[in-house]
Amino acid sequence: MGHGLKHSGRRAFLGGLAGTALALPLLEYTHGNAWAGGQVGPRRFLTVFSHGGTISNQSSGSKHAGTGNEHGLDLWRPADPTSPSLVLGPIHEPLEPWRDKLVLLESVDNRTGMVQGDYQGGHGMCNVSSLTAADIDRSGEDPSSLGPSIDQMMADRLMANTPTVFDRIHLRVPGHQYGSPYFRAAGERMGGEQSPVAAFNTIFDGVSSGAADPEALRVRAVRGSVLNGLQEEYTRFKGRVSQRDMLAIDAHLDHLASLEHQLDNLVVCTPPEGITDESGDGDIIGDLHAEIIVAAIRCGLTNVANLEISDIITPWTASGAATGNTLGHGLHHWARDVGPTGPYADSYDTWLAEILDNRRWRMGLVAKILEGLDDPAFMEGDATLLDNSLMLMTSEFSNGAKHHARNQPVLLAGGAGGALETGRYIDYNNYAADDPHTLSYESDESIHNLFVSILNLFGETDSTFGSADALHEGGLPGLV
Amino acid sequence: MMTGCYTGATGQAAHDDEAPGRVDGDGGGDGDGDDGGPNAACGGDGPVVASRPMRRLTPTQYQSTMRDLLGDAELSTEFDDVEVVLTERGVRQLRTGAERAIERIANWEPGLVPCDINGPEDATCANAVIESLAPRAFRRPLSDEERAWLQSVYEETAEAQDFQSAMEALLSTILQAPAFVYHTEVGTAVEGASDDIRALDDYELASRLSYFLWDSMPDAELFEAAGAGLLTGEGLTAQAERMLVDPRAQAKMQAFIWSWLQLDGGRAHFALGEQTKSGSHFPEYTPELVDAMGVELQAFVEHTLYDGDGNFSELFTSTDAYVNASLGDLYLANDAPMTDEEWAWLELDPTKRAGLLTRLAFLSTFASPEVQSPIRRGVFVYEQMLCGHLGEPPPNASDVPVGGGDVDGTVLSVREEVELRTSEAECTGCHNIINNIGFSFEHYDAVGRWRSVELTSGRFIDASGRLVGSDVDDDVTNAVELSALLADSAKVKNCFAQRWVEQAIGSMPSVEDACSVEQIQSRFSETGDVAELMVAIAMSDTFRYINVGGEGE
Repeated sequence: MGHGLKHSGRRAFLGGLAGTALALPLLEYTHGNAWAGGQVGPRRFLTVFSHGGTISNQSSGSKHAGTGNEHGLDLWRPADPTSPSLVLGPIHEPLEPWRDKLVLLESVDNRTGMVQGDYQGGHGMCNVSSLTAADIDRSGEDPSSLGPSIDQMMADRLMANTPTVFDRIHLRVPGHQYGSPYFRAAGERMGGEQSPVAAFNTIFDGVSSGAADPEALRVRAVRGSVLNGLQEEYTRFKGRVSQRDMLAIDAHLDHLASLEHQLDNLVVCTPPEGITDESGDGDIIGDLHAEIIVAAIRCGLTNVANLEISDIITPWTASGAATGNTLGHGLHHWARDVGPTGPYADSYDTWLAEILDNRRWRMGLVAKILEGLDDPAFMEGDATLLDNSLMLMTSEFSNGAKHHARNQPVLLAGGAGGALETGRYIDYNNYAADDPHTLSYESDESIHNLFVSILNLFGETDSTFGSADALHEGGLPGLV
Repeated sequence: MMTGCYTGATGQAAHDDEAPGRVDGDGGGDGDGDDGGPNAACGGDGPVVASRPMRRLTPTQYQSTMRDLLGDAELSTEFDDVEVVLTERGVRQLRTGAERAIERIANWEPGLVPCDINGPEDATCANAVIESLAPRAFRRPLSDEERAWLQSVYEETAEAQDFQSAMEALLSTILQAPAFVYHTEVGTAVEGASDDIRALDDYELASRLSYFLWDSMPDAELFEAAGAGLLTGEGLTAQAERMLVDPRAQAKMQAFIWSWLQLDGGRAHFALGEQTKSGSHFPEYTPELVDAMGVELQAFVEHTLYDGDGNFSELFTSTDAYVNASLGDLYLANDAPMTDEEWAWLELDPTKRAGLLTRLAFLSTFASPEVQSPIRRGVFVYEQMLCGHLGEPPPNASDVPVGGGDVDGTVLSVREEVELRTSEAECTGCHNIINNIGFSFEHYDAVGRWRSVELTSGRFIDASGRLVGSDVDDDVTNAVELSALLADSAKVKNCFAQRWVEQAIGSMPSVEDACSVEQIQSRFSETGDVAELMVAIAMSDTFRYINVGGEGE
């Protein structure tokens, strides 16, 4: 069997293992039928995290003009930042079919990274704070976050109201990077599943379109017995370990409880055909991951999904991988030296073609997810799954060559159930109102405020998120 | 125009950027500065060791343990969670591992499960599993509580389902239990010591010893020794020496050295098997060649440490090499085999090669697709061989490979361009160290071939350098001379010893471990005997005692 998933386009009703419905409306669909339930508003949250930054001329307190060593490109911004409607630039071109469902943001800083990181940023510091905005723990060999990432926060909130089999799923395109930005809680870093086969088998384990196979039911019952026994023993074990080690055992118990929850909630849904071949590079794995995420959401297996893209070279894209870049990290570092007076000025065209292809490929994975969620074959009333979702796409840096925590690139997609006005670009640079192309830079906004806005979009009333480094409480002005 | 560099090193191992109380590998009389905290007194009022977090099976240990426990040498597990706190994915992988192992029960050691779990009900079988498999899995005798717990798992499942399900549940539970997954160490009271200091009991010591030397569970003989209370003094030494000649100890040493050389990759470089090289410059660089490099390196380690007298210094000086035709070509060896299928031992040219740091596996890993990387090689030697600390590079430090060639109309060698880009005042603090060491490797190109003229620039190669930051600093003309200095360096031996102590105890030693670490380093510095080093670690206080108080590292 080759790559790619084939979905029947049919979503049957959801039910519990013993025939008891989950705490969700009973849903039965055939192709093209309308939503029969009554729930409105944002239902699901996704992140796409792209390691290594974007094509940006961001510097510390200003932007590079492109007249010196560094290039002067800001390709995260729209092609026309003055247009009242969103005009996508070259990086975002793959998203053109969904332009009216996007919100592009600039000048949202990572204030935790700026304040607590090395030289106002840094690899490890930005990695652990770009999705958490939380205080950084530097006591260990590697920095760690002292708070959860936004996806985990959303997973906890959504599970409380609309439980699904998985509180979140997290898939990763493997490659070079400086640590996962996803944290379940303080000190609990989460790595994504990099094998599409393993991811599919886990997420769709037990999912069928009809009566479960008797052997599968027997195996699930055995698993249930084992989980009961393990929970009993791990609880006893916790009483025998030190205070410090209790964190690890508490987490283990939580995970056992999650596995038990997954057992107790059997989803009946026509699953896509399975994946048995995942051989290939990121171009194969990335596509498979995107398809798995879409299929999992269509089957209602989760309301929070994460795709993490490591900082990889893309030899399969049009311009291919230039020699000299063994790591994706090296690719964006050229940004410092390809300006007209830089030592690699004569490599500018080659470098730009390569990094643009690379970043466009990553955006192509976003496009694949948007396409799947926006498919009119899977409607919720008169809205698509995308309309009732919110996706956050971001990175730990804007200008990866400088490792600064300023101006973290932010793309939002999906209507959040009508709560988010889309088809917009907002630049929070205090100097941009007078001159959209200014090289001066100052922002009062941080990812702390972004994450508050995201929570508010889902009806939550939080006014703060993460560390105390944000310049103000509340959400991003004008976003919600 | 220039790459920047942070002034973060003083030419000696910098301790002030370490967390308070950490011990660096600089004991043993090398004259470096203090370690940031008071040394614990040796031979004072009893053992003093640091408090450390509980450990769990690493992915390697999990696979080895499952294979050794069940007697299924072909069992393949997919547990790969290395996060500090086990993730849900890791817990699920443990379940999958147990289930897959049970599917292969026919391949287990005969008698381990004395019944057919798909056959008629046999409660005595469950009891036998509880009494024999479970203690082995938990690496100690069961408590009454554990016995009752496992019996209830079996009985409740048998009542609710069937015998097969009950046996599967029992086996799966054992293979996911906390006593299996985590290294639990409670210890026993030590007379005269504080309440926080406890001695590992016999089974805990046996487990710690086997995972230290084998990355796997104790074997029957070690279990027996533990049960008989023989793991003290000469008894512990005897067991360690026995275990050191087991193939599992050799496998552990090979894995350690591979990781010590960072051939498994790092933040700034890919692993040996994941490198790419310019096809036009290096058409000979094929997957088969890379595999051969790995074979050569491992053969060299085995030959040096296990066929000879096991002296550490020879890892830096020996010119023995196990090569095939392709390797022989790269080593410019005249008497190499004629085909890649034939392998033979020979001696490399001693003016060009000596030890690990002049072997193709290392040299090609620390290079870019087109050219050598004196910076990466210099950083490696300083940080990994000397346990030096350079700190983080500054934000304007570039990772773009320095390739030499035409620079503003002038053809520069790699060395010349590196010197040009790291000559600013803010750079020299680190690069006076890095460059001096790294330039000694300039004769070896991106795949490790020795050259007198640089392939990419056509410039004559200057490999003069200087070893700095050690106890034997001196000028060198090439990496062979550098290797000779490293072989004689006490600081290098101290660093190697410290890395092994970290392996043994699962974390960086703290100031409370200073006494043990110094004793271990002192002995190894005298003899350079790797086997003796392992025994010394096993006999040390930091290995045999635990500190159950505090939240320390």
